[in-house]
Amino acid sequence: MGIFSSIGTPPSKISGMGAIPKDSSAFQILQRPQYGKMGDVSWTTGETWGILMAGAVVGVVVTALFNGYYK
Amino acid sequence: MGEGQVLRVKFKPGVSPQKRFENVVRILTDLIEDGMRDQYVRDKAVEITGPRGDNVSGHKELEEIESITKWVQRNMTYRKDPFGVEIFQTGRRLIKDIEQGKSAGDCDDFVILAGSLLGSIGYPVGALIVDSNNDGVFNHVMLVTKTFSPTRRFGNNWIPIELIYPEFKIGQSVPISRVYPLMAGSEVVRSPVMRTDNLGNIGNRIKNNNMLSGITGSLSKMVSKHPYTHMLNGIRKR
Repeated sequence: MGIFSSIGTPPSKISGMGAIPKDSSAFQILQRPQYGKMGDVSWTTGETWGILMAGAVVGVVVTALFNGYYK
Repeated sequence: MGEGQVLRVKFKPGVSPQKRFENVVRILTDLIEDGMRDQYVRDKAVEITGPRGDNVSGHKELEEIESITKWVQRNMTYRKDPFGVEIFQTGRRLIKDIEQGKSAGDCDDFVILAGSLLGSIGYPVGALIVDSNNDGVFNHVMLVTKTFSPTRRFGNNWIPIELIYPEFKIGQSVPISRVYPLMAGSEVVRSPVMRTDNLGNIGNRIKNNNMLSGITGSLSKMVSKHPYTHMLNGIRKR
């Protein structure tokens, strides 16, 4: 089975109880402040700047190679 | 993007669960991103919400989300992945399987399908990894989306959606204690995960080795088909 497979046949807690318990816990957790900006670009993480800088470096290198070859 | 494409992932023994988890969720959102740009998927989403489907009026955002959710919940069939193997299918493949009466997928496939459909008609979507046994261990994935205009039920908040049980309404979940959201980015520019020529590599490796040696290896092989790589190889050869 895969990493996420256990939900379909979750162990005793759900499958043995008949009706599947429902609540709004996922929705409630998503109301916490740390998830407020979910989906927005985060300018404070190193990942964002890393991707931007890596993209710039790749762009410059590709342009330099291209120009160097076709000059 | 091809139609009959499935990505099988099997990890080498010794790869930590955390590493497996991180790689798997990345593929999940990549496939949602690919699906939301697929015209075939968009056509299906428009059909589901349009006059031939639920006939949702324009600008009724919550009704559109509910329409897509119900269609996926009612039409897709839950089947576990093979033991020890994680299978991912494209949104297009999942739709075709439903139309041909051979739908089968686990929770990640449900999320790929619903995320692709909702993303294709303009909604921000993501995978919400949760601990469905309420024990702190991530083992399940739900969809998360939101409307652009605030609604009475959900305001401007993100809405978790449980897809594998038809009786769950949007916003409901099994009791959980942790979430790990991973958003699909509409602005991401890259080669589709399941390009036809890439599948050749994957298929051959499956045939030769009967499994992939590890997700990192398989992805690096796929990336080598990127147009920029071709261009640089051409320049190098000259």
